[in-house]
Amino acid sequence: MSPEHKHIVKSFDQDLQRLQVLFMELNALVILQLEKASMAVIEHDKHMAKKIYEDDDKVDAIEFEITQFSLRLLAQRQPLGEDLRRIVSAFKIATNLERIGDYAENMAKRILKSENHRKLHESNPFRQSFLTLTKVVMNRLEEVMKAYVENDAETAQKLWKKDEEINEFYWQSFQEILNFMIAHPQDIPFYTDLLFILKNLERAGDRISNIAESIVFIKLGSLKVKKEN
Amino acid sequence: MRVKEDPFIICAKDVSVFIGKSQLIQNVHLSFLKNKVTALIGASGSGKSTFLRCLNRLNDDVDDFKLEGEILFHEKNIYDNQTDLVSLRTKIGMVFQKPTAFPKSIYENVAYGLRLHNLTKSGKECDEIVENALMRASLWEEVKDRLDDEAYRLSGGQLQRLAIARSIAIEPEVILMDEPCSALDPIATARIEELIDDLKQKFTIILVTHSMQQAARVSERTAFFNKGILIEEGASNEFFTNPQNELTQRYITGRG
Ligand SMILES: Nc1ncnc2c1ncn2[C@@H]1O[C@H](COP(=O)(O)OP(=O)(O)O)[C@@H](O)[C@H]1O
Ligand SMILES: [Mg+2]
Repeated sequence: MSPEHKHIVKSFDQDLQRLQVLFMELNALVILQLEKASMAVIEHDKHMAKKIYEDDDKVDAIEFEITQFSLRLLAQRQPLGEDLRRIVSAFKIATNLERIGDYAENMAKRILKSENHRKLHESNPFRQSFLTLTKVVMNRLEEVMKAYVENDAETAQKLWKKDEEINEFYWQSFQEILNFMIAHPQDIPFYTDLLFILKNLERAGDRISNIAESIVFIKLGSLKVKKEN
Repeated sequence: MRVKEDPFIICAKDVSVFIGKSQLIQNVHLSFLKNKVTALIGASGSGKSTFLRCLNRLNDDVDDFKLEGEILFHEKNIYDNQTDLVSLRTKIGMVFQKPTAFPKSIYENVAYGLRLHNLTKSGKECDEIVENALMRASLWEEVKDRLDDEAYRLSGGQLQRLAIARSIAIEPEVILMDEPCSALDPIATARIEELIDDLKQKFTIILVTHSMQQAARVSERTAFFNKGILIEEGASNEFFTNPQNELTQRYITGRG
């Protein structure tokens, strides 16, 4: 819908803006959690890991606020058409963001619990792969939520398909680490942890893809352009 | 050999309506499925009532009324010269926005339709028809012990169901309803909606409503009018989540 067509009831537009602000808050927090998790992994920083673990409550709180707010909008505005799709999708998008927050938390927990973890030194061949994957995930998340705020289905469509890249990158790293483990059996516990951590990033990629799908649905009312296999 | 039944009971073909110099309806093509509820929505003044009233020629008495195009009922143009209006309105009944009752008893209000359409039956037969109509209109339980009471004492919701009973007593095929719930509270509205759900087993219902939520709740098909033009018609379950036309989208999301 063209942006010049505002709701006759102005407060409905204000409500929808508020929803976007809540999403930006949630997204900023989740990206921060991912960034901290990546630092904690590289530096083996248990203090940071603990902070991530604690801050997950904040992520949950904003998700809950979005859920409550969307429920109120459904009851109060009885939305139809694109508004209905937007508000119902808010529940899904919020859940997906909250889950990405959980993955950051999982990474932190692994560092807190594991006795095998240690720093990923500059010299470690997988330090770079790990950093690259983290960066890609964080950038994608940033982009997808920008597309959400701008109601940009075209970008969302592209990001939706790009999920394959994260998957491929993950499987490639997985293979490399596996081969490394075979050659260095004494390091198996440490690298098992690292595989687990990478898996969380790969899952975050799936969630981003879900969000992209929701954006396409909000805008087009269908999932018109099917994801290519 | 099995005869393939036409799924449409009424087909408006290229219908334009004029009153004097102003054109109220423009080239509308719209067909109505048998035993389904079709909702007509649109802003006030968009021509919903005008169009609805064309379907049983209720506009005929309006000064300078002119209709172009055809309205086929069972494939026969109702605007043909040969059409018998009384018989047409027996088959296509109408329930109005304001629940109306004649200053008579509850019983007489239902039986009135029969008499009006020259369908008068013997006393016992008439009793049965009245009881049946009141039952089908979900009013029987509330009025069976006071059929001789004056009808005007009924509540708004009851009066509307009485009007529906009056219209179904004469066994129409199609019931036209023009904003039948706009004067009713939510509970009375829910009763009418439940009734509409029931009635479509037997009748085809064409419902003008200003409530999009009501259209979404009770209808299988929805048609959106804007300034006398039919903008979009489709299955209601997609119409309200994913309309195709920009004007429809704006209307159902409340945008100016
Ligand atoms: N008898 C009439 N003479 C002239 N204009 C009329 C007459 N009846 C209705 N109209 C006009 O036709 C338009 C459509 O009216 P109507 O069918 O009642 O709309 P709706 O039911 O969608 O609110 C309105 O602009 C109304 O003013
Ligand atoms: Mg009207």
